[in-house]
Amino acid sequence: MPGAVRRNPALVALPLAAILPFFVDNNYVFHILVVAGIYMVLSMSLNLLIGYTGLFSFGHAAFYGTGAYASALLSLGCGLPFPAAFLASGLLTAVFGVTVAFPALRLKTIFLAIATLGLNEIVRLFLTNLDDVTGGPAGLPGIPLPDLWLVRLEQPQDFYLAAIVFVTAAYWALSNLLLKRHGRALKAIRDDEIAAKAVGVNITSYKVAVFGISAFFAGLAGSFFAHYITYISPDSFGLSESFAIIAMVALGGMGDLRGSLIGAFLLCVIPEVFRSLHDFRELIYGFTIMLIVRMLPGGIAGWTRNPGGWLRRRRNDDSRPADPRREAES
Amino acid sequence: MIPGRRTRGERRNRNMRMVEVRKASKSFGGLSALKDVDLGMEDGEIRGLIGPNGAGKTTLFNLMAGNYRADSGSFLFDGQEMFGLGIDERVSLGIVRTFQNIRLFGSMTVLDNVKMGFHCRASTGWLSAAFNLRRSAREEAWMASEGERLLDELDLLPHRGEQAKNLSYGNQRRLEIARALATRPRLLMLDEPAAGMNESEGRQLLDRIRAIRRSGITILVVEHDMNLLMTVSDRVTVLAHGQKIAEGTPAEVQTDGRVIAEYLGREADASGH
Ligand SMILES: Nc1ncnc2c1ncn2[C@@H]1O[C@H](COP(=O)(O)OP(=O)(O)OP(=O)(O)O)[C@@H](O)[C@H]1O
Ligand SMILES: [Mg+2]
Repeated sequence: MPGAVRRNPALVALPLAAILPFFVDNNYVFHILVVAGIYMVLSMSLNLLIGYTGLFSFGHAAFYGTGAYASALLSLGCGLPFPAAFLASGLLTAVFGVTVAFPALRLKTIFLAIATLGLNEIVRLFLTNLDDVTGGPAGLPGIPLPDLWLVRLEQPQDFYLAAIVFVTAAYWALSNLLLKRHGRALKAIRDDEIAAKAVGVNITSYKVAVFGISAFFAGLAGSFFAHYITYISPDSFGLSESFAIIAMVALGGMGDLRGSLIGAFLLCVIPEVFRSLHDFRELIYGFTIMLIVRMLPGGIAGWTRNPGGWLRRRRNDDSRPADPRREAES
Repeated sequence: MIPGRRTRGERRNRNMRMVEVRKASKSFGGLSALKDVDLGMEDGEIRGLIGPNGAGKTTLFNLMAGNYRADSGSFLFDGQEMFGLGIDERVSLGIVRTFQNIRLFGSMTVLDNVKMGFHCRASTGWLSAAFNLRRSAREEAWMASEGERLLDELDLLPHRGEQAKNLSYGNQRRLEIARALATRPRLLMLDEPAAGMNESEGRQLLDRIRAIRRSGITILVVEHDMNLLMTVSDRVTVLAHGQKIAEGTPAEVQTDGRVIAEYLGREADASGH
């Protein structure tokens, strides 16, 4: 365990953030940080798909929204206590993710991106039009605040501490998964699917699993959001939400979990610090994606590994000896 | 057609050759790339596979490894039918191949590429990877030490931390072999392993292939470098136009009339059609 911590400074930095309430007493600050925490989990979970596996899933808000609505409905309709609703919404969203994975297996690159964008819209339209269940465009108000056996989360400060636990746990579990055998297999699929098959990787089961895991964490984030804000509506889970998460992943670095923490943090906090930027949030996300893709494809994480390398990158990119023939599709 | 699978118990038949391809055929649209090809290999053999461009050598690899589905025919490996099994199942039974056009995991390190070869022999599932740290750490340590041993054998150890895409051509070819060996194969299929290598690298490769065979692995190798191929192979199979035209020891094949005609008369043949 100490070794794991040494290799993983984020596992120290995240819990250390819990001392902030000793110095700051400002609900607004805690609110921003709670939201940042939710986006950290969303970005990490999307990074599994886009960054690690190379699956361009562009409708992550569909999973986020599914988790939020599942959790809200389970506690409002069935009276499930928060911990049960939280876990159940993660699991339900995972099932949804696995279901989506099967048709998605046949699609690649831009085609998968378009299909998942479509999925996002379908989910949003369902939430908007299933008035009887989801409350329609007006959404679901009055979602109960989380009751965690001994403590009840009420103030933004409480949620801040809960968010730290949530982000740390998600980061810990995901980094265990990704630093080792399974993370390698995902990257192998991203680099060369045929070669991955040739060494015995079952591509189908990996893609299905990674959709399920990604959706699981997005669903948990949705549940956390729903019980924090206590009111959800379809507008919170549209395409612009998905693009915001993509921007965070891209900024932080594809295929780097720590990068996702940083990307989510920066894109949540910067528009708040410069209040005048607040109205331009979506513009900022769009520009971030464009700039990163053009100039810094490794994101912040890639840049820290190789500072200054972004200038040289373009030339090095084609250094691989190429054999024009391609074979062995299956 | 999915041929019936045999269970492990049935497959130990001492008279049976390790590799028994029978009447394998494959066509692409109207083009028949492989027609009723038979291939029998003994355990521990090094078999050379030659033929002019487009003869169907890579196609045969693709059928045997499972990249393509055969139109018809069968492939018994230790008596067990392989056509119909997935690539991953064949890898775990001991059939592995390398690629003519090199397929590495370019963004991953050299050591991680080899670790991918161990993938099929590792067993930690998702849950135990996430929570059972002791167990997955042990497995990681095992992969790292075994991986470094393999890299050392193929003289790649100094490059272990480099990204695979930055290796030289010859090193990339050797890395592909190291990765294939990591799956602990019983049948190793090499598709033009010396392509792009200089003469001394080619000679080293020759020794390497022999060493691999000494460790008990059966080898099927496609190679355009005739010198190398005839030196290393126990027997040679010759394909042309998707059909087997000759088979025998290197000496026999080199004096076979059809083989000579095929190699010398290729241009005449092509225009004569
Ligand atoms: N995926 C494919 N689709 C269509 N035709 C193919 C495909 N793969 C192979 N072929 C054709 O099948 C024939 C045999 O090709 P194959 O790659 O097996 O030849 P080869 O003996 O490996 O040749 P080389 O020495 O050039 O590697 C060729 O005519 C080739 O064009
Ligand atoms: Mg070939």
